[in-house]
Amino acid sequence: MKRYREATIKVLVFVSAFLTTVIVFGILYFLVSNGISVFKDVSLKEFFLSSRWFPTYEDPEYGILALFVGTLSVTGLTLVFSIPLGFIIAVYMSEYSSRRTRELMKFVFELTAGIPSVVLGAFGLKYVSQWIMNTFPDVWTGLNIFNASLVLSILAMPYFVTFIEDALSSVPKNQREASLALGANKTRTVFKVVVPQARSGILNAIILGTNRVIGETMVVLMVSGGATMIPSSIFDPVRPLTSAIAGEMGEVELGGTHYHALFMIGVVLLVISTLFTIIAMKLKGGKEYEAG
Amino acid sequence: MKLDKFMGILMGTVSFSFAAAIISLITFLIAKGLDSISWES
Repeated sequence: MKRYREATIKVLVFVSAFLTTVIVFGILYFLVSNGISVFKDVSLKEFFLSSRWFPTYEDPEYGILALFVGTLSVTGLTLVFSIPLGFIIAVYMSEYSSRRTRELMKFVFELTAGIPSVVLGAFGLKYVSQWIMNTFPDVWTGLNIFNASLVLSILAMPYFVTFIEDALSSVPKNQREASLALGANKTRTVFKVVVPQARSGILNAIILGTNRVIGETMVVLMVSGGATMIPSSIFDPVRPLTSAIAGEMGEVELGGTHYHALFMIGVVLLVISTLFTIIAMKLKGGKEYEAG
Repeated sequence: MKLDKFMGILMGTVSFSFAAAIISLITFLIAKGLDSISWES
């Protein structure tokens, strides 16, 4: 009886794993097969190197360079805001705070992670944009890279803090003790022993967080401005790749060039995300800590 | 020792400021939401 039950569970687990793999590859096939058709009407050079994305014009143009630069600029500025802040908070939580404070901070970050992105988007749309317009009088729109990056930083912060804190906490305690025993003070121990040992974990955290920022749709759709242009300042509006898909997919003609172009944008996002995941896996698989 | 204390205070200030900002944001959002409800039937 027990043997049958175990065999049934094994089969069920195998079928579930197999089905999941099939579904993932099915989605991949669906995405690529739909996206690749765009190149029947648009050249590779125009699609990737032109910054003119005007799919609804009489003479439509499908260049995604401006969208790609939009994604890069919003992601880049978000990382500038959130990595240093996330690192400082994670170091404080892992090395300086008491257990009670750590629990309190963790609770706050759980709360932050629980805020739906559409709520943060609405906050950015209504209040952050107003604040930007009042604070910087020369800015012609409150919906821009700066606004999107500020709101995205709030969204991404729990990821950065949690992952970096995990990386720091998994450095063995005896490494800290050895450093302190050699006469190093706490600050020196943290920055010369703990942080270097957790380097690959920290890089992994940064890459996973970046992946999350690149894929975020709702916030950038609501607060990045939606203008298809290559920005020249952080106060310029942009249209990132994800917001182009979300904003236009509902209105395209099924099977048309615009439809296929949006799927190709999906493939580009998937490639970026996969590259980041592979780098993260390589880093994680690398030499991490040497417990003495 | 002084440096350790300074770093602790500095990082603590940054962390608590961020936590306070998040709590304020959540409170603000809830308050705005409650404000938009008409409580009289």
